[in-house]
Amino acid sequence: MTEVTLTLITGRALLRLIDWSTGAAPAAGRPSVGEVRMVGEVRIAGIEPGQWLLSCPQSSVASAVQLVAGADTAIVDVSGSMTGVRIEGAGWRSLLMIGGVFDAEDRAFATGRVARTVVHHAPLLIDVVGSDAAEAWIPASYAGEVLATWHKAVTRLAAAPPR
Amino acid sequence: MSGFRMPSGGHIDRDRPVGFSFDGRRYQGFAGDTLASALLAAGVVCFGRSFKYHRPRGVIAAGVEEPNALVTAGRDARAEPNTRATDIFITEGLIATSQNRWPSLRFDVGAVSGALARFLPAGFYYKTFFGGPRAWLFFEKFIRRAAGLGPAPQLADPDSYEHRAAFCDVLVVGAGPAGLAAADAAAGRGDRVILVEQDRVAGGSLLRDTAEINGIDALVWADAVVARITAGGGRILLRTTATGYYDHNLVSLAQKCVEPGGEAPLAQRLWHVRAKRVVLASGTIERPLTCTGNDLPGVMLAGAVRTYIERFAVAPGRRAVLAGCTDDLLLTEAALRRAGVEIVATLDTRHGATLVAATGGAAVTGVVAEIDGKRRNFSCDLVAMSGGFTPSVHLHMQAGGTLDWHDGCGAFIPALARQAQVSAGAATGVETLAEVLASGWVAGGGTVAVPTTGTPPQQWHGSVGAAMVAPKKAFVDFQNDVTAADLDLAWREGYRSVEHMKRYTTLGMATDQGKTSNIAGLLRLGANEHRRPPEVGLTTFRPPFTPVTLGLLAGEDGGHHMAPTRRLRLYDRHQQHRPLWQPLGYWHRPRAYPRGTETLHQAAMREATAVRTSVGLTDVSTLAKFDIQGPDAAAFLELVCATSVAKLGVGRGRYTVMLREDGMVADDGTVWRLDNMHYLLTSSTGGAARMESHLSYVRTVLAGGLRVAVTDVQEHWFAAAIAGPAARRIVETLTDAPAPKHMGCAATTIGGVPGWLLAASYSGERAFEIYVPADRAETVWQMLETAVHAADGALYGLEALELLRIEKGHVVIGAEASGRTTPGDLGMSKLLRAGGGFFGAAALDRPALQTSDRQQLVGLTSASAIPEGAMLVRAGSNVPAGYVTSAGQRILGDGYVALALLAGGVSRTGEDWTATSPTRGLKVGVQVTEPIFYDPAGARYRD
Repeated sequence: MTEVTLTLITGRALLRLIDWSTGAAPAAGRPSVGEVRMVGEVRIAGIEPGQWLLSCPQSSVASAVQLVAGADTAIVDVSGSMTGVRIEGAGWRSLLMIGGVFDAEDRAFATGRVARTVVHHAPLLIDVVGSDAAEAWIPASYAGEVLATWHKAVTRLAAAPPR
Repeated sequence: MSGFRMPSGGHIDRDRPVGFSFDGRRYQGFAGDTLASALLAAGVVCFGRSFKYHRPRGVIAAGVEEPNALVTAGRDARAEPNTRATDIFITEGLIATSQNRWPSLRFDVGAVSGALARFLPAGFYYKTFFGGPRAWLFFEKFIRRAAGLGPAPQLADPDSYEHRAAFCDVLVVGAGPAGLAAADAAAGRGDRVILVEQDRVAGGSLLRDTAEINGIDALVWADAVVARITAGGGRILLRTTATGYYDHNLVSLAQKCVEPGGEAPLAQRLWHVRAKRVVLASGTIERPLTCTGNDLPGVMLAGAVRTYIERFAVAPGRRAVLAGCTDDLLLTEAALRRAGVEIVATLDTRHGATLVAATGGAAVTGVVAEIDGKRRNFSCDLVAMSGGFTPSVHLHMQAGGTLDWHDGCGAFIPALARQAQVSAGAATGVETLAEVLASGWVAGGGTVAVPTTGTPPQQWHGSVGAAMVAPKKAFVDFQNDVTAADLDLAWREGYRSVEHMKRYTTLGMATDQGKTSNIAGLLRLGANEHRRPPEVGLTTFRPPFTPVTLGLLAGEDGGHHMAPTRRLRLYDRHQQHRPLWQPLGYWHRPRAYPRGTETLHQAAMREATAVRTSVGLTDVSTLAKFDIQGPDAAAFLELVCATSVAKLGVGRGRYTVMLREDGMVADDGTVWRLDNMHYLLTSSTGGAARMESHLSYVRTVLAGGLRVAVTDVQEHWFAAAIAGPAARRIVETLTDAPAPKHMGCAATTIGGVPGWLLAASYSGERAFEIYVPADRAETVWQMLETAVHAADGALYGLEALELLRIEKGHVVIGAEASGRTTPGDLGMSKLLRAGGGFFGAAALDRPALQTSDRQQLVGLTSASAIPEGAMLVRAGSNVPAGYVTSAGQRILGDGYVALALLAGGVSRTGEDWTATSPTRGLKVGVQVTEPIFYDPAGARYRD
């Protein structure tokens, strides 16, 4: 039996940090693309060259902005655009392989790694937060259908795990 | 009854009897039985009727290559037609039904077509085209009724299907001895391994032919290999068929989680496997002999006979004749003797004994043989034939590989591989078990410790030609009733290409795709052509290798058109008003909010009237929105937008258009200067993804040096448009601040929610777009909706929005901006930045875009409804000079208006034209006007 639980993430702000200085290496404290770094309460994920996604408690937005702001940067609040889902349990990797195209079963995709991919036609960001858990950030408009599909898949996983 | 269950042996579980039915009659088999083996054990000989002549057909094979024994498994919504009885493992309660017969398998009225066989030669239906259409129209209904095999279920499929990705270092297709050796070797190297087997157990030919490997029983060795692979983290997928091989080493696997017709939480799973390397150990398929009566029930492939004996403990007959040209006959003869079956004769063409014909009626009762030049008759109820082996090269070919003809095998074998794949085992033409094991081991990356076997070598391959005695009425393709005579006829009629011959005769079509017939057909054509098989060529190997259900291809998307549904943040809120939803790309947006018995048009007219006379509220959240910041933000926008941006003051906005590189209008929208170095760009809903990609391209490729940050904030900002004479008052009340003038913008707060207020109008009325973070939209919408209803206003949907914008002459991307229209065609030349420098500007200078006869945007008026999409023609002409792009009823006045693209339209104002739609039988007189029908001076925008 492969158990997976899905929990909506609430109370978190999402900020997009963009550094337009061309050709420069990431500033100190900013992770490379595909990596995540925690700075205090702020989780910083490298999602594109020169672009990061910050997540933090709503109450920490001001300090997060202060933490990463620079002369060549823009910080854009995108909290309203995504729905966060915590996927927990031994089968979280299997769940993301269903309707997906990304190798979530690769053990190198471990805590502290982040990836953007497509699952069930929806673009999403996967942030591995532990050996048995990941957070998925889905554009809000897709979230309803993705979640409904995931709930069905979780039931099937429990009944008929892939051999 | 001829077949029977042997008292012992086989790989079936005799402690687990399984009940099932076939054509309504109850039978019992054992766990591990296929439907074919269980029915053979029960003495059933006839499994179905052939496609064209309705001849009685039994089972000839024991695997997925079976062309004859097609049945419908399950019933009602779970009925799965055309399923091979050899590929269904029986489960308790299985209901199987024979096909292509009426009223019963035993007595089939359709069998009369056999008597009419001389009128139904190859390509007979093409010949009905001769003599004019009446002949075809007469025959069509009969041909259509006769076509097909099992009926498709009429009910919606209740089963669940799933698509799943997987990645691995080595994918091994086939868990026979070569595949097991390859997977074992790869796993031993620490590779991530996936081993795929279409059977329910690993072993392949080892399940049929006893052998020793590494000094132990071969099946014990197979179990040990499976255990090693699993223990190493490898994945073994049973009841899984590699159905397709695509570019970049992508292989599709169809996994049965339940047997056909059965019920389970998940019926089937489609795997998309991306492998670094693929080993194709797909084995061979035994070929039948081509002789008269070779399709009679009881005539079987020798290897299949052995499989039924050794694996299923079923003797398929009591008196057997063996015929063919390979050592398979020897093994089969030994197996038959062990099963207690009488060997009547062994006809080995290598030794001067040839099978000429099988005889019988409902089943084989004897054979005619030629031995040392003399004809002899033998009585029997089973013929085991072996015409050589065809390597299963389908996946190799789908992967883009090439083949070489191998005279020794009498078959094509894999040659050049164009992807990271290698064939192994019998599929490469090697004959002995030792060679098969070594081949697999090396393919898997193994170096030392090759699995060894003491099994003596056999000559598996033989010359197919030796077994061909060229009889007429000898079946080459059993499934499609294609005889050697049909192939000869096709050749005489000029079908020289193997591809043409296939289509003319149907050789190699339908569910088995010629697995048992293609080489025989090829040899027949080659003989007629006096050419060798490699000169004749092959037909194309296309996925799927075996049939897959449509449900599996749909996966989780069954009923959803394989596209996601994007929901508005306030979907539930809208749903309370029971709107008519309209798909717009992936989005679903309210089309109208009908009240009571209102029709769509009535609701839209009421809603549009509310906007014109009081106030309306609509959700425009789906608009594309981009946050653009940085010292070079204006320069970036001047590159993207064809209108001037740099001079825009803070707190002001502007309508803008964006062009493609060829100068055609790609999208339109508005650009707003929120702060000194901060802009908001909006564009159309349908073009949102395209615009995001375009902006990224401009930002990173065309203008990598610009100091600008571009962020897609489409979903971050909820947007509502409030429009109408009362809009300004409501906005000022809710924001407690003066509203910005038309095309002005300001930061605002509504109900404690901060956002932006943009004074933009799409409707032609004083209007505002209110942007707030989407996760706080509920509060704001609630306040707006309450205020709008208090002002006797209404919610309005896309249909009203369409009526409003048509009256105002606003263009829509995809309608007026058709992809072939320039800004000039749409009357926007004056908006363009005179100095150029924007994306697409250079292309606008092309002479072809300056001609006066280009289709240009015009308005149309009429007293009657103008059909959208109608062609525009002059009186007395039927040559279209344009077409109606959008049309609607005037909202407050009488009559109808439309926008259209008309050749030289600007100079045609005042002319009378006809809008005609012959396919709908519509024709309306229209007058050409300016493309604006409401408030051309824009007075209603001003306070």
